[in-house]
Amino acid sequence: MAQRVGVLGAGFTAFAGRRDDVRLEELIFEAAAAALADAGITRADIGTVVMAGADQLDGRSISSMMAAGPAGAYLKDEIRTTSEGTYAAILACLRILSGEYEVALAITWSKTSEGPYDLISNLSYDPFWLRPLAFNDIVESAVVSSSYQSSTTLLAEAAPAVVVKNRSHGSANPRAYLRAPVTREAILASPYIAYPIRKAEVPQPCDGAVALVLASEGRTLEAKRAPVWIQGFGWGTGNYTYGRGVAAELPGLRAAATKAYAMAGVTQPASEIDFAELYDGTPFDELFAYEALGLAPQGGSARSALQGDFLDGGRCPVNVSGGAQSTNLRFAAGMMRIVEAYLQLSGRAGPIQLAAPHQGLAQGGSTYPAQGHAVFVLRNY
Amino acid sequence: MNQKEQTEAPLIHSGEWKIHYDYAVGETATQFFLRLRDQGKIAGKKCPSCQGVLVPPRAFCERCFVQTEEWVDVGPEGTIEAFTIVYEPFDGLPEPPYAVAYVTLDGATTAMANFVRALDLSDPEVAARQLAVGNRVEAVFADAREGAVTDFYYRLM
Ligand SMILES: [Zn+2]
Repeated sequence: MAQRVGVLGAGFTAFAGRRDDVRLEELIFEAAAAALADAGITRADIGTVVMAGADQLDGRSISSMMAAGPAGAYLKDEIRTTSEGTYAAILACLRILSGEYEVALAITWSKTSEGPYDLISNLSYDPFWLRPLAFNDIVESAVVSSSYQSSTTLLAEAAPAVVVKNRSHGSANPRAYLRAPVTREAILASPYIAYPIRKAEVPQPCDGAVALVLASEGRTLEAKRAPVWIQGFGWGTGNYTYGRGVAAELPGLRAAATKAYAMAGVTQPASEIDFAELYDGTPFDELFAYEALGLAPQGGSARSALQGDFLDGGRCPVNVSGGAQSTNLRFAAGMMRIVEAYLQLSGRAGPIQLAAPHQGLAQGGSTYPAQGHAVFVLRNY
Repeated sequence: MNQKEQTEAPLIHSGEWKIHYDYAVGETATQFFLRLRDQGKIAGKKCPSCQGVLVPPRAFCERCFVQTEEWVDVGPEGTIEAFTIVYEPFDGLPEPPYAVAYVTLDGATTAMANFVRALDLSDPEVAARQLAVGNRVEAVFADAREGAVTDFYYRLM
């Protein structure tokens, strides 16, 4: 790939359990305006606006009619994907690499306090086979977790350790929604919500919107700030039907990582990736991602987690931001992973800044049915 | 009016979507549901390319990207591939506790999800051990069947 995409800036809203002070379009405006300000550009500089939103979560049909304006798209090229939030960044990168656009604003949002999320999640399943069985994203995560076939005893130990790690990391992050750390004892004392997932392993959700300003290589080099590059990206779709292979192996994520690593020239992720921001709506999501992304040996996720490989200060810190365990933006959680990785590589992560990171990974994935995944390799050289 | 004069919480306006759909089940799943309803049998469709027996049946194999034709009866016994037991209530979903499992029925290539019943779920650890991946179950058919996935459930053997 001759050209690469740069990140000019990032913006996000205040996060709260309910953002009743703003309606959805105002929430979107808040993030888009923050991203433009951070990038030091105005709406006039944007060539294309790429949105990711889900009508059923927004409670509005064809919500892009309402969202385009506050996202900055009035009389501009605009497109929306209804896949998980990071697909806005995927599509924005592709549009820049097409050569048609110099600057793109990618934006996604999640204001799930306004509707019955569990029920909406159930409606995402087909009406014949799974919807009648009361499936939703948590049930699905639990089912996928039960299919893990390596070191299951260690897995049960590692899951609360991941939550403790991320909430501890998040307690130092001024951008995080949940700032209080949790203890292993408190997690183990909480009831199962869907075995093997405990109630304290599913973080309280929050409302918010997240945006990135992306640009061509040439335009990025013109900016005053030292560049951060999206050196590689990939996305992959696993199977919806089950039972051919082990679900916890996350075939969609493996496919996405293979493409992203090939594009970025990464051949040994465990040694070449300095840190990662992974989707962790449940600790099992993060644990299975270690293996799928090559950050832990096959079958070794739990052991690697328990020996502290992914702690701040460990071999490859994961979710030093606190992850979705600290800021559960649901549909927009993956996009916030890119923003946190970008801030690290930009040297602007504040109190949670890692010492001189050069290459990081950010991952987003559909919360249900763990089918679609997107992987980004970011680099500051 | 400036922000400081606003003393009440921002207003909330409620809305609801009540939209009725009539989903076409399609000829393939219709045959499956009629066989389930009228004969108490579970059948899959065989891919002529990879020979995989797809249960629930599909009119096509998405991997080989060809249409399936031959019907094959499977089960009623099978092996658990994955499971969960739900202990907390979700909005609009059944009262917990309930268990669901993906089971590869004997003769099938793919696993099919359904409720697991006739099992004491009061102790999560005990119930989870009984539902462990690899354990055997059998499909039990309801007496009154309507041609839907819930016409059968799984029971431990
Ligand atoms: Zn096939």
